[in-house]
Amino acid sequence: MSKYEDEDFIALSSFIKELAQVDYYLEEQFEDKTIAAHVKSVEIESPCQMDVAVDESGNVSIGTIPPMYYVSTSFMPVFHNIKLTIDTELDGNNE
Amino acid sequence: MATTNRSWNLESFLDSLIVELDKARETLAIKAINKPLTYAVKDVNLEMQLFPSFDGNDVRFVTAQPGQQGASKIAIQLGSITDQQIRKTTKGPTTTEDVSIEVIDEIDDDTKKELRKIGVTSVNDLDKIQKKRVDIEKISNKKVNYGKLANLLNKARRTSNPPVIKNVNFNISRSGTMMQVEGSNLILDTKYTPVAVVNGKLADLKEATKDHLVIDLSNAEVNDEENELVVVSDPFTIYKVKLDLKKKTDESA
Repeated sequence: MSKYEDEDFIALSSFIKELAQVDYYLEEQFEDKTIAAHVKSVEIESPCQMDVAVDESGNVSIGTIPPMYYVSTSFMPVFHNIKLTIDTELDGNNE
Repeated sequence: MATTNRSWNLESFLDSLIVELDKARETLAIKAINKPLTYAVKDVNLEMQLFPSFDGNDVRFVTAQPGQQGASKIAIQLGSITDQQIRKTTKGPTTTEDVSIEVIDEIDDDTKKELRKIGVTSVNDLDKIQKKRVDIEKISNKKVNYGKLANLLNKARRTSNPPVIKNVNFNISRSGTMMQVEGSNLILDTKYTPVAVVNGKLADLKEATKDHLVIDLSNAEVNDEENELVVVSDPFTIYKVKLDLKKKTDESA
């Protein structure tokens, strides 16, 4: 059972890991050559829903998810904002 | 069971946020072992809608719920920091010879809070402040009394490092009779002069170190059977040893 109010919420670390899945090359054939490009840096700014759960001993668990519903309702969910900067690491060294 | 919409303090939230970020970074670092092209999280900026409350001591927050208006906005920015920067800007952890003020029950919560505000978290921190002749009462608005506190902290430090006697030897020669005591933490604080009493009479303490005591027994009466050694090493420590010479001789024979 999820520790968050809504089971669709995931831990913040999983959310960040999902956003960092950009490790692929964009390839294009040109005559007899292949041109490849990769993402150097990504800056993501997104509204998100958050669920901050507190257990009996005061420990905090942060659950988050991108906005789930797109239909306007009388009680709109609260949208927080998350901004992430993800940079390339080639062979463990920053470019 | 964790429940939502319960108030939390910023420290717990940041702890959790950093753990989550570390988890994400660790996964990406593992991925980097096999894949030459990977990504690292450089910065995280979180803007949250919250309702803060202040109970006179602590500020706590509740996350805004659907339909709630007028929430405050708090922005948390976490940037990358290298291990060298961490070493430069943070204190090392409390060592085994030091005592954290958190574990001392005799110090009330208000005093602990005042000490934390001025960066004192252990007995050694307080010693450093005393050496610089800082007026701790003035800084803490007379909430912290140094003398009282120093005694409590020294007592706590002594409790966590009790004296241990491992061996007692009698050295009888023409020049005099000496008792040698070996152990650990026999003398902890050199600012006090230790005192030794043998069979109720004050004895001359020739040498006194952390792991070694030499007591001159020339003026003391040494009995064949029961002898008693009492050492006062500081205002918080008295240790008494019963020495049965005859029994010891019998056993060794």
